[in-house]
Amino acid sequence: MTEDLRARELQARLRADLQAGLHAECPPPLGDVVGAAIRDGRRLRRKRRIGSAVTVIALLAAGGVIVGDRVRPERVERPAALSPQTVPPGATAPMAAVQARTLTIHSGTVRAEGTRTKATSAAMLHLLTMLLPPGRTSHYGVSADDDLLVQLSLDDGRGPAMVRVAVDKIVPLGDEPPHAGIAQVTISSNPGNCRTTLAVDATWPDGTLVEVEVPTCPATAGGPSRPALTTDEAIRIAADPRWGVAMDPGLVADGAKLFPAVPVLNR
Amino acid sequence: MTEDDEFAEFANAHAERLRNTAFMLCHDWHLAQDLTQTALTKLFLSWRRAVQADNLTAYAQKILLRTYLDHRRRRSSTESTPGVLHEPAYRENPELRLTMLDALARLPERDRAIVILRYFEDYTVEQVADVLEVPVSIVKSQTRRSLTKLRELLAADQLALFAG
Repeated sequence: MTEDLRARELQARLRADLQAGLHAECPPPLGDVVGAAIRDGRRLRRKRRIGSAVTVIALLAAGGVIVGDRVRPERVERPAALSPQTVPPGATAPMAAVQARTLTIHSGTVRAEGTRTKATSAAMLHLLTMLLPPGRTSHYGVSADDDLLVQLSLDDGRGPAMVRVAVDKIVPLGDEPPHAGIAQVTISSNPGNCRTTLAVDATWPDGTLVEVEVPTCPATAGGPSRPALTTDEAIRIAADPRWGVAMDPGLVADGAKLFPAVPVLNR
Repeated sequence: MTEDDEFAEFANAHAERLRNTAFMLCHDWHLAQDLTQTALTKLFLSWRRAVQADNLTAYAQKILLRTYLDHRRRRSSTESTPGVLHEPAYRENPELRLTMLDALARLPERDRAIVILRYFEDYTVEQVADVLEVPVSIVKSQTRRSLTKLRELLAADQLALFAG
């Protein structure tokens, strides 16, 4: 037998043995590995953009450039009641299970029905300010790209702390029928990284992904800031059914009035 | 179709194969799942560059391999080395006979990767060298060394596989 033939036979038999060995292992279901990779990838992509923006802002500040307050809206007063087109989320999310990595939360309502219009960053800021616990909001920022991403600073009297929310529509995966009103919520805590101290993702059956991030990076030299939200508060915000790449027209209209111009984060 | 749609289509079509490769590298389904997800996340982030590659599947495998080797490097200081196989024990007791995957798991990480790429993924020597960023001569010599090691590890009835 020539060396070439021996090599080919060896390769064929080794390959068959590896395949057989793999088959005998009975691989577990693959799960949502692709969806998870897309979610992680999108989050990392946003972090990179925001990281660049923070660097630019820091450089501008170091150079004595004053960012004008002209475009910074004043504090938004909370509306006395939600708009009639929207339905409040369920008040009894399973907070007792907060220690779990992933929760399934029934929002208490189906996703808002009726006419929806393309979401805007201003509408997101408007909704976020309605959902936040009491405090003064400031330092608003929005993504420059098509990303629906907003951030603001919340001061409940103990100093400012940042909250960031992003909304996206991920590629629907699998053939599971929609389960209206059910959001899969994932809580990630990373005390070692001030940018991702707490992150709560809510994924809806239609592919809507809401990410609430609670970073604790220091605004100035010194120790990290306190988290702006508790885990329960972040879950409640993430699981609100009014978030989406399309939102209630009333929120969009009110948002445009309240936040006509907001500094862009990544330019 | 958006870039994200294109990525999802590719990833859905290749995730299973990537996980199988990852499993053969690490012999742990949970870790294989994590490695696959990490590799796909990296691929997602570099998608615009990835689609320029001549062979996108090979590009994805390359990311997976590097993810695995990085993982091993990070863990090497905290993990104990796999125990040395007691050859007489499994030769005397057929129930203890090694499978090919068991034998593979006893190879050093890079040697294992070479065998998997050469004989499971059908890569050429040059492609393996490219993925692992080592000279072709190293791939050839490590392949020979790995096959010799496998022959030593496998049970008697499997020796015929390498007999010549």
